[in-house]
Amino acid sequence: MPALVNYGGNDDVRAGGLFFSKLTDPSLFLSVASNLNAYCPPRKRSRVAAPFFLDLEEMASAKDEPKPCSIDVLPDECLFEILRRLPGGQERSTAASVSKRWLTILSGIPAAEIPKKKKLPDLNGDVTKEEVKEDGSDGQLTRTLESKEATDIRLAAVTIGAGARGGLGKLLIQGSHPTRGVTDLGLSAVARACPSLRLLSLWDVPLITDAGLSEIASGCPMLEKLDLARCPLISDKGLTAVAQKCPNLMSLTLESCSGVGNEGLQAIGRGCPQLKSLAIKNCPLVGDQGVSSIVSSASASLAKIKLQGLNITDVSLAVVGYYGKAVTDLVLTGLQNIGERGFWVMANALGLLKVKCVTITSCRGVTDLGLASIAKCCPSLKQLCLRRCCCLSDVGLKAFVETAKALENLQLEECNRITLGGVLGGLLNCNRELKTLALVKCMGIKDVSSWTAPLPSCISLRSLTIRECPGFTSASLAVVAKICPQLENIDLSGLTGVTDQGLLPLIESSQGLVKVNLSDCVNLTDTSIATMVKAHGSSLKVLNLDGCKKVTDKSLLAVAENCSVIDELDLSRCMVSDYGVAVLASARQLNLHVLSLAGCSKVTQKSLPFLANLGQSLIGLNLQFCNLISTCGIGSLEEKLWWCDVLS
Amino acid sequence: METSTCSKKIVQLRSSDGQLFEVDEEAAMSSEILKNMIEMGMPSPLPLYEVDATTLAMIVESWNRRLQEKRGEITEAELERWEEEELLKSKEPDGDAICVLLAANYLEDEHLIDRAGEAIAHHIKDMTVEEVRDYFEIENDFEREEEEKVFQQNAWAFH
Repeated sequence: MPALVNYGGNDDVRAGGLFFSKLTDPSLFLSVASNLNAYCPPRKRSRVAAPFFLDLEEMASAKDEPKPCSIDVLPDECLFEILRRLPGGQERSTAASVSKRWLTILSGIPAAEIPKKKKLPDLNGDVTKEEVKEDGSDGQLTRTLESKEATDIRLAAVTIGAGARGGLGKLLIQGSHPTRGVTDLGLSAVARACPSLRLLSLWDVPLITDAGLSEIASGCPMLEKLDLARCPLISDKGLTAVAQKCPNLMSLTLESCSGVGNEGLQAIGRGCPQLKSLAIKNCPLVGDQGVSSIVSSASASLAKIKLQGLNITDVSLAVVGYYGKAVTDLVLTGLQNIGERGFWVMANALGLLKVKCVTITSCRGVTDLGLASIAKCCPSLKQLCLRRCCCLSDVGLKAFVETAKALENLQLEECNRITLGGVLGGLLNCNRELKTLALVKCMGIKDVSSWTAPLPSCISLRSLTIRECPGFTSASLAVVAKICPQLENIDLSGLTGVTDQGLLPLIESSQGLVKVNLSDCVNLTDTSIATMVKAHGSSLKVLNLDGCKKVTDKSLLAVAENCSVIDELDLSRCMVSDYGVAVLASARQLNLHVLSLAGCSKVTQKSLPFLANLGQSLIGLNLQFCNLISTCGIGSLEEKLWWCDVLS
Repeated sequence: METSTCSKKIVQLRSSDGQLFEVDEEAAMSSEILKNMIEMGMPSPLPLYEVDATTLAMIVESWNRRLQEKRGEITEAELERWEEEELLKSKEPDGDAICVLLAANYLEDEHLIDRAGEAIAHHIKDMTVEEVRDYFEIENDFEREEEEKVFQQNAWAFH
């Protein structure tokens, strides 16, 4: 007697039989020893005691038993064979919603394995809801997953849904679910189902590794843009895979990827002949070798280079200077190991002939000499932006501005050695085309007590920004007015030293101001605002008076009366009240798009009906920190102005 | 066993529950597993540990019919009709197709895998999610918020 009999204690078991606890589980079928000859399922009486041959009729009569197999017992490969034969996207989407296992298997079906059926014309003409953003040209879709919704399951669902509707073109994953985040499995699903993926952006997705990236490279050969930020497990291996399998790569951005080093960059340089844009930030393993090799390999195509916080030296800049024949935009930030010589060599290599826009931030190697070389050797330079370059002096600025023949836009931020005298001196012989000048937080800019030298004349200057330079006051503003008669855009935010007296000359001398930003100019009053609005009402489009505490309803009255084309009006923290709002709303000719009354303590519920009247053209309304307006008041306003974005 | 006059070889198969079946060797070659066993010269009866008698009976029958079709004794249409109606019971909700698929997967019979997969897919293609879950007694293991997201993702499918 076999020892297995009755071990479950069930009454159904006959003597000499095997006992199965669950008929539906085939893995419990035990291998039958040749001398054991009776099989007794718990539901059926034992029929046979000896081997017998097939009897079809008997088999047929046994068919009215309950179904012996359940789909759950099917191993994955069987479920795969079923699910891959589902005929349409809709059916696959339904199946994807059944359970996690089905979703996983469905997302694992490569696009090539789905048998193609002949498409019959759909006489019913289904109308599908367009709820996704469609990239115009060929029906490619864009999907973005952010933080908590970024899980493998969601990603699998996205790929199945997108696959049915023309395929995913752009995928952006920003953040990852804290416990069930995106892993290589999710990326594999994307790789299998989205062969026409063009853009992949992965930010803060810590669990993905080279394996996932390699799968993407194999599955998505059309990849054009790759953007990785804070993915510590990605290393040169993953990048090499991309380099080998994605020859169409045009843009590569790597930020804080601590595993990526020189070899990966080298591979990209060799494998991607179409590379146009390169941005590498805070990758500690990247050094001269990587940067040099990629810049030199991609010399013919590379147009935009951004290097930030890298351990590179003068050598890299020399290579950029020599091989940057196609470079139009160059951004260098926080490169501590580069000295004066680096910038000099970069310019004098005479390769940066097409560069139009250069931005240098926090590089202590930028000195007068380097800047002068850049001006001399980069004939196409139109825009220069220098931030926190403390070595730049008035002399260097003058030399630069005089030499840069194509310069149209100059921005200096926190360059504290520059003085107002230096700026004026530089402007004397500047290029006739200089359109934009910006001086931000330059502590050296102070009023000149007396200016004896001839004043420059900048008739070409259209935009002037002087922000948060505490030494700049009304007196200097009067000088500015004399120099720049054709200003259209002025930005004087944070200049607390400017008063009405200083602004008036500027108002008088300009022809037609378009954008005026006077935020935090706390000493300005209605007088100058009203004057300005009266003089420039026909051209003024943007007026920002955020934080001008002395501005009251009088200015609003002036705006209502005079401004015919005003588009954006920012009155945050001003002393305007309901009366002013009412007047503004009653101005029929106004086509205001954006209005801000944030922090206006005098604006109350009474303004709400007037704001509703304004609503025809309004698309943005800011009512934050208006403590006298209740939330239900804002709620009803939101309902009335349903097309408008109301902040509260 | 006696071979027939056309010198067809017969092989014996034993199902997991001990029943013996006879089948033409040529028919049995539909299965990769059996093909290997036969070529390796394994002694009869060949044991099939994962196929029970009920299912094996149906599968052997299908092999015989396929052989008949190959020899021109029945038409392709008749074979297909038999497969759909008898073997896979595709018109009635029944677990047969699943059993056949399972067995065909074990036996590595491409044709049957294709047919059975097709039949089951056809059967579920017009069902809604709930109907599929009920029919197969599958438990919904999505977290509630995940399910909502998957649903939204594919909401157009549910009109």
